[in-house]
Amino acid sequence: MQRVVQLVVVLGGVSLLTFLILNLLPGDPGLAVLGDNAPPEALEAFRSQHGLDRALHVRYFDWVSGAVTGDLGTSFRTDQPVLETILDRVPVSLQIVVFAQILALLISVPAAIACVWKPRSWLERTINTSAFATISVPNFLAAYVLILIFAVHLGWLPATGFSRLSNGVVENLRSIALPTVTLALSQFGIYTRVLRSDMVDTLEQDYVTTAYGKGLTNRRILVRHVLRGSLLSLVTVVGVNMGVLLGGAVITETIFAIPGIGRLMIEGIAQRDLMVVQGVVLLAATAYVVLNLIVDVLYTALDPRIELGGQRRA
Amino acid sequence: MHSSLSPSSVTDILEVDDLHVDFELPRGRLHAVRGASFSLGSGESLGIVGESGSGKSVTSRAIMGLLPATTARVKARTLRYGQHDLLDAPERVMRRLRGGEIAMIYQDPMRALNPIMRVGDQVAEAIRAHEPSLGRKELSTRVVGLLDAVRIPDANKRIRLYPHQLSGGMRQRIVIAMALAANPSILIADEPTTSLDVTVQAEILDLLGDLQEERGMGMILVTHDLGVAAWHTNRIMVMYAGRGVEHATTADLFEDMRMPYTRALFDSIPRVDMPPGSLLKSVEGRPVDPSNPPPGCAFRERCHLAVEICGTTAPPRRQVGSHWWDCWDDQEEKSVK
Repeated sequence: MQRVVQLVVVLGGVSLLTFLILNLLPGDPGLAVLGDNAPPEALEAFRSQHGLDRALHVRYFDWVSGAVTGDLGTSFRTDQPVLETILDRVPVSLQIVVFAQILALLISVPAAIACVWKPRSWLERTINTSAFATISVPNFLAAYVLILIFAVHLGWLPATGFSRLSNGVVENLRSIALPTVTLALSQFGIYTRVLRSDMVDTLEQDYVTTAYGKGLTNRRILVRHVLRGSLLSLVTVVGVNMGVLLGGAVITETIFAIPGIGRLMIEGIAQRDLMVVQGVVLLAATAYVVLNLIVDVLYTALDPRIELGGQRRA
Repeated sequence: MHSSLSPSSVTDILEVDDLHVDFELPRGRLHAVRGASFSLGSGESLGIVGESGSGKSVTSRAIMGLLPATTARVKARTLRYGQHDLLDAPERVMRRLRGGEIAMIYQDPMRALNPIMRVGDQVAEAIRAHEPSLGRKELSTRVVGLLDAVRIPDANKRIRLYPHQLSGGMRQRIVIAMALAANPSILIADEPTTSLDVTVQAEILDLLGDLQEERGMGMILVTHDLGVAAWHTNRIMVMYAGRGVEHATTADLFEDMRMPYTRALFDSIPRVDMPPGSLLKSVEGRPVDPSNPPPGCAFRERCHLAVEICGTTAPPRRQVGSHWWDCWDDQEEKSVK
């Protein structure tokens, strides 16, 4: 219940802020859409068609009351309903983001386990170095390196563009391979380091000694006791990252020309298509809050001492 | 060694001779155990008594091979369980011995249990570590049976709980059930009642004593409380600054304490025959710094009987039957004072 109130407050705040910032910025959407040489009558007609001639608060409440019923207005440029445009783009971004998270976790979790299993080994040093490297290398650079290798030199994968699932699974997967790997790389380092550091702490716990005292194998101790007891921070970071990326992996989508949410927002901003930008921001905020809600529910599943609402009992 | 001196033991299943444990710490080397020697016959119960820092817990962990490999250096003339050299055994053998032959009960059950795993699963895991082929159903029957054995009522329901949902006494019973899981020959109980309420302490000690007798297990009861060690032990070894300083059958020890430290520990036990309002004696002074032990007798600075020679030369080991103690203060001197 508390959570639902929080959701409403956050979304209310976000909607008001984006609306005010976008609408108080200098620059006339009419001029942007119709061009600098548009006759005054045309501009006037554009304004009244989109309700831009009304007072600010009237427009805000009009937009919010529409948003509540699922109507996010229509795009200034295409006259398409904004919600429809967004829903058209969401699956594209969602697929890449989810795949990237899965890929990042598939590498990070074993990597972190390996670090704890063989501390001070060449394996740990290699993992540590590559984790640092992927954190330090900016996303766009990794993207271009990948394009250079796999698209230009080897020619295995398309450099840019997106093929919808309806055009065939293989084509679809080929088209998202490079952006997915780019995103996953940027997460891999963080996830590995967060998990490894928590596992090192858990390893010091008395119950791990107990587990050794039972005669369990190293493998079982590391997975059942150490890994299982070290997931809270990782889940938190994954949740936050997912939220951020669902709001648009702007750089990655731009480089690979992926028609996702991030691209939609960038285009909207460039073209002063206020309705589209407002809609995307609202969607991103919602995704963020909902993901955090899921993270909280996961906490209670991971640690039975935590109760929904945040208190942790002794 | 001393094994031949203990009348109750027919065969020693555990033999510890001249055990040394050093910790390499950033601030220097710490000698936690400096030549501890004892043995345990099958079905026999040995109390190891000493203050915190006397090396008693480290000794028990050294036997189990549970000390951190990165910092702990374990050396001994003999460290043997049955036919197994515990210093040299491959990890695969040690894994079979841990829990399977030698099992441990820990001081604080809240910390010894995994907080995010159901207690039933934690017991089951201890069984399956040594009997991997056991089926699901059999396993859960065994778990419930173990919980019954440690006198946990409603075992069927309790197995589904998490540690924080149980009381301290119940948690310690779970730890004991875990230790019993693979029918070990030796139970090492490291301060098993220290973290518990006084009312529960006696219950847990009785339970341990009964289980030890029923199952014919050897037991090492590690405690700082000579009063606790008086229960259910055949022999007691008193440790100070990483070594044994006095050893006797439990009856002999309470009859005739020779080492002043043992006497000081004894005087710190509350007794019912004390006049109301009288103060308990604590052992005066502080334990020696284990990273820098002084020459001579380690206890001399706290000993009210200390004479000059105590500060220069390590005390000799005196022996009467199975009773031995390290002290310069021999019988004649004592009668003079």
